[in-house]
This record gives sequence, structure tokens and C-alpha cells, in this order.
Amino acid sequence: MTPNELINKFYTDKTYKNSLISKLATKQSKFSPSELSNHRKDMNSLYYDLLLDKISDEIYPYKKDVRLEEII
Amino acid sequence: MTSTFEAIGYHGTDKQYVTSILTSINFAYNKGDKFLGQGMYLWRDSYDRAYKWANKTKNFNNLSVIAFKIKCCKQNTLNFTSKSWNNEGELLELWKNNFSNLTFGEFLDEMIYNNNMSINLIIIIDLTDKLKIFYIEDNENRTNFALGDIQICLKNNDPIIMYGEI
Repeated sequence: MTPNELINKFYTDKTYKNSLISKLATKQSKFSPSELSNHRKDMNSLYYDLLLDKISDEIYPYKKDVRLEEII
Repeated sequence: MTSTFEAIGYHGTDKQYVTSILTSINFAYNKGDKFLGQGMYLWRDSYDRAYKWANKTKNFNNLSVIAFKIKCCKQNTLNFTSKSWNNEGELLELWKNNFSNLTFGEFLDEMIYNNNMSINLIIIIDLTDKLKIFYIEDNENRTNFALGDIQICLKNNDPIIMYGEI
């Protein structure tokens, strides 16, 4: 199943959706609640910001005249 | 329109593991990785990054780097450097709204290994490190360039064209 097929099935097939939710929504992550909470924040703030091209100068203070070698 | 993803990726390791990796890759390694789940992890286009990561993170004594040439069709790739390569944005929303009791990596592995989502390869910007932003000044215009390390997670052998120790 492609991601597109899976997503469409989730939102159009109630039986499939309920089955998936009942299988996964109760699964225990191997990470602690605080690690999970931080992970969600990472995924929310960093990742959405990357995807939406909202790069803030506060993320990494730039230096003038910085050489490429210093970055890489 | 691009229909395949192709790249060179590098994996840093200890020399004692090279023969084993070159014989048979253990794709169950890194099970439980928060971001992309289990698989063989590569740094895209950067031998240096793979070497330094192995040195700093794993503290190996005798470092070695294995290069991979990979190619995978679009429908079997998740490319999180784009939100619209293969429904990455929608997949992320699905996880966020319904399954964030698991990490995103755990969720992806559930979808791939237990729910028939056919994905062989996942690409993402390294979210554990800050973006490197540098500033190019051009009279009135100011342009920022952002550099991020690209991580590739191989879920199976299918995308591998060739690989070997450097």
C-alpha cells in the first residue's frame, strides 16, 4: 500500500480506521512520557518550521564572513 | 517530474563490523529510533559526517566508512525534505492527530512492517542538530542559506545498487 492509499483508506474506511486506532493507539512507546513530549515538540516546531520554510535567525546565530568550511 | 530518488550515502562504523555489514545488512538495527525507526542509516553526500558521527557518537576505536549508491522509485520513498513528495505532510498529520502515543519512528515502523505500507527508503533533515545558517550579503539583498545534514534510512535491500568500504 502506498502512503496515499493508506491515508485515503484511513479517512474513508471506518472499519480500517477503527481497527488501526485500536491496534496502535494503545501501544506503549519504548520512550518515557517526557521523552515523548519533547519528541512531539521537536516534530511540531522544528519539522513544521522546516517544511514551511520558516527559518528563524534565532535558531542559529549567523556570523559574517563565515567560511563554508567552518559550517561543513 | 522526478520519479526516482538517487543518492550516495555514507555509513560510519567500526572496522570489525564491516565484513558483517557487507555480507548481510541487519535492517532491524536501530529499532525504536525516534525519527525514522529501524534500518540502515546513512549520511547523504558526506563521508566526513559519517566518519565524525561514528567517532563522536559511537566512540569506535578503528573507524571505517561504507559508501552506498541508492536508487528508489518515488512511490516507495518517503522524503521528509519535502512535504509533498509522497504525502509526507498528510502522514505526519495522521501521526500527530491519532498516534502520537508513539514516536514518529515507531509509528512509521508499525505502518511499514505491520500495516503493509510499502516504503523502502526514508529521507529527512537531521532534526537532532540545529540548522547551520550563513548569511550572504549582496548590496541591498540579504540571503540566508541554511545547511542541514540529510539522513537516509534504508528499510531493506531494494534501493541498494552497490555498496562497499571506502
